Amino acid sequence: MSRQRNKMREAYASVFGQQQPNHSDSIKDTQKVCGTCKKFSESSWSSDGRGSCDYLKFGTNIHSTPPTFVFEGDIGYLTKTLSSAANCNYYDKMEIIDKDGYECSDPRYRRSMRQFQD
Amino acid sequence: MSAPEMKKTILDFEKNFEWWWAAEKKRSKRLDYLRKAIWKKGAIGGLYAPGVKVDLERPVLQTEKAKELEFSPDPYVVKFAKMIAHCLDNKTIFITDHAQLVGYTGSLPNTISWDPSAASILSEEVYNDPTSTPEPVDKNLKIIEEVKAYWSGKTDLDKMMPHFDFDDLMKILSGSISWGIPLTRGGYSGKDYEYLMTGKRAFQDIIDQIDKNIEDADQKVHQPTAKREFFPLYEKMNNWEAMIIMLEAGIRIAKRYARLAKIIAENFETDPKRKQELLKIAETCERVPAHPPRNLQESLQYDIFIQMISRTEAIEGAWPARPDYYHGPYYDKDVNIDKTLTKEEAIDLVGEFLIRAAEVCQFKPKWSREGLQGIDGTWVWTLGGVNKDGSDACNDLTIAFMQAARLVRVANPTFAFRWHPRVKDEVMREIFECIRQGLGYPTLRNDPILIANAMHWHKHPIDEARTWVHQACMSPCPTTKHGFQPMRMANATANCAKIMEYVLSSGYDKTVNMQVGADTGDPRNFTDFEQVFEAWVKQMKTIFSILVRAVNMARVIGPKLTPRPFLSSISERSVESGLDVCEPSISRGNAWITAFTWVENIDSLAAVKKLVFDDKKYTMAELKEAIDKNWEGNEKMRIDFVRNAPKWGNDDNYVDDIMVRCLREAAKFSKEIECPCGNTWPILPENVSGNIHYANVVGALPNGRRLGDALYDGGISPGPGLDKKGPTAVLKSCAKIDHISDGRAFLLNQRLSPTQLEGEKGYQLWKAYIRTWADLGIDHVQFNMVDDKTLRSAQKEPENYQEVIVRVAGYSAHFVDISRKTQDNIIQRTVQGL
Amino acid sequence: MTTCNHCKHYFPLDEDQTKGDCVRRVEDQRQSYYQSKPVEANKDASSCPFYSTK
Repeated sequence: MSRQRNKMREAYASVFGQQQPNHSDSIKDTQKVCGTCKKFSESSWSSDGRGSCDYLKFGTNIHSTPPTFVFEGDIGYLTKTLSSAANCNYYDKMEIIDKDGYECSDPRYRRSMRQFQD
Repeated sequence: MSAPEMKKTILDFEKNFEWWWAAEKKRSKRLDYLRKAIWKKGAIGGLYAPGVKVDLERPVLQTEKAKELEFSPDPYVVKFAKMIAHCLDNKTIFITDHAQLVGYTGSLPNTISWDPSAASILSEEVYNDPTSTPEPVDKNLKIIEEVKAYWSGKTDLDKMMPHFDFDDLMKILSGSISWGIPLTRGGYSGKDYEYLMTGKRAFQDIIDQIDKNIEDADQKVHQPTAKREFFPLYEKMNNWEAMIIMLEAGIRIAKRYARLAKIIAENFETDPKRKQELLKIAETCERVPAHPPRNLQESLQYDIFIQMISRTEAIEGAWPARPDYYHGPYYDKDVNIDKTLTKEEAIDLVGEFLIRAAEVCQFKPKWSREGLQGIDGTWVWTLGGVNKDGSDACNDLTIAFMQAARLVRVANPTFAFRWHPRVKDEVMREIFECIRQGLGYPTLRNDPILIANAMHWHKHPIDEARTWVHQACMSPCPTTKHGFQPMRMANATANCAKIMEYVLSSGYDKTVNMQVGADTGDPRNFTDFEQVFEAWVKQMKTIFSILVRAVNMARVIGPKLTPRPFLSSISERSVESGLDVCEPSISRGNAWITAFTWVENIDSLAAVKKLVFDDKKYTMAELKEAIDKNWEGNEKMRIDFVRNAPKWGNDDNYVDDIMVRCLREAAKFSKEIECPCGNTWPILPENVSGNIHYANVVGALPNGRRLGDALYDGGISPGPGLDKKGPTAVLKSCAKIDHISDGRAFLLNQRLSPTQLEGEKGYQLWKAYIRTWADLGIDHVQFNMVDDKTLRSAQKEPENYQEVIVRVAGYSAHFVDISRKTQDNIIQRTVQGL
Repeated sequence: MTTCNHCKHYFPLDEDQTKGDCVRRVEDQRQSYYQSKPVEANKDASSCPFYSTK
């Protein structure tokens, strides 16, 4: 199988494969999650919390000890809104603009992220 | 209505353009009750309204039947039919007080149906949705979890996805270039109305025909000599068997409604008039859908049952219909010939039919709710047009639908009128009155142009092309045996602003951090506009190809993996052939690519050409740097690109030529790519609320937008406030496009002043405008006619403006049901003085 | 045992006396309606909150 095809299959599996445990269950600081980082974009294709990081690349694992960061490659790091960012060195907290859950698109970020309390 | 308002007369309200209050006073008590009885199903922003709950009955019934059938020897198509039949046989049904028409996909009026077998990601959304879990929440979350767990790995999406190209799939899943899932049971289904709704047959007739087909096939396959030609018959017999199961289930559920109506009449109802109405409902539901309708009530009821069953089988995102054409003969019979109904009684039925359609809802993913705010849908019903012989098809029911629409003021269904030169003045006045009273519909479609368009792109013969209905918001589709398209997958919806974005990033998408587009080289090295344009063409082809490949694949494998036995059973080509209705080989094809966010490309290319290459005010390197920084620190430059580059919609050849050039490149490419039926893939610029949905996905562009700014409202509409030369200039720009051969259709929003269009003078002004529009060969126009003052008041006091409707894009919505950002975007649209 | 066929909301099918419809009137915040759900005649109704003897 070509390397590219294999990589794409792995990326797909990371999105649609076995449900990963919700890492935020085990952390105290529930605000430090991917969904409150400026680098996160929730996918506009599905709306179940999946999204991508615009800084890290596929192959990154921010949950491992120590975390692994990859910066090169064709595919972004695919993660979820509630995925714990406790160990991410590149977490950059966004300003929470409003909490009204009815607005679907803030000037920069999608609705689900803006529902977080400040 | 507040106490002071109660004292006002209908005339008072109409003088103040408060059409919604006037309608409330004008409509019958029955219609008033039924209109207020609707649970609002359109999502507000992206969330379902309070009180609207996901229906758990169907998922539980479907899951229990699926478990029972796990070890059954039935082929999948038969199992699937049995699951749906089990749901229809055992679901709760209801009859609302004062109703004359019945049938709903959910079990109760405030529920929205959820199909757990469609997509695991959809089921996950059901679980996570913060507002729609019914009480008691803890118990029901457990039920959702169990159902979700059962179907995980077994849904249609789970079955389909592994067959796609992963490279394409990851780009689609990124959400940067498209929306929609390529599923046969999740999209816009046309119907073979010529087979089903012309009074020649109904379900029992089709069952009898299929029985005969099975018998013939069975005899063949049991002949002593085994022949290769008989092999396909085994699969066909399975398909036919599944079709019968669905049709019989459809007949049974109708009889359940008949029974309920009779029980209420005989045991509960004391009012003699209502008793009679209930017995009429019983008689109607005994008759249809088993047998062809005989009167207007039966015809409308027949239609509702077809839609209800179809939407139990699949998640349907549209409602292609031509209600005046197919129900018109029954209206004529009841009102004009037999005189069994007065006009007022007919309006009550028609108004209720609109209400039944407005309350339809299936649980949809949030991105879909955000893209189609305020409605579940979109249901664009086609009125008017011509008969197969080219004569005017308008009838009394055409008028009745428009009159009823003004009384009930639902945002969905919305109408699109097929205008042609022989439309009578009385019909035009009804259209005008609907628009003037702020419904936002009918939209106007240029029938001669679109018939020619259908013949040009998909080679539909003229008599078939003349039957056309809106398959979704805009695209024509015949209602004939080989012409109708059973499945249009929204996945072929391109976020076209990305084309321009990728020209400047050589295909790299910064928002999703991946290479999505083509490598077209460093734009800083482009030395003339032609190089920019060449890169644009390459990006356009790349994006369109990714989407088309995915949809093509889904059309080819869908019939086997995710069949549609009910839709097949009501389609002549499937009943005849024994093949699933989505099987490409029995269809002529009617595909198109919806082009969201199209005009951004034109304005951006014009700005680059003008300010970089003609005026040489900036270099490509400077532009790229500013774009990469989202214009930060370059506000003066950004304003230059907004204000001092020509914009589409001002009858300016500088930018209009670029529009035509882009469209013709796309049209050329549309003929190079093929659908599985061997037909073409023309593009169709329009937006729904994609301009808001994609606002945070599309990066900075040379038309001056920043990441996060709302995109233009779509189609070939100029950017809000950027059309400075009046409505005729907009039309003249649009007329430079060839609406037959440059694409499938082109959406145009116009906003008109309610005060300017008052009275007879207003009507004549508008009629002249429409004549100009038609003479210029433009295929579409839709109007908002609500003033800023009303819209701003509605933002402050939404409770007093519940029935104010606006035209969003390819659909209408109640203004109070759309997000603030979309509201502001509509208010920003230029009000044209005619 | 309390079974559905003893309830006032139960209406048996003419063609099959072992089955019937449970028909009830409901008033929600927006509308009033009659609903019907298929049930078996001898279904245990002891925990049904709407049970009412004929």
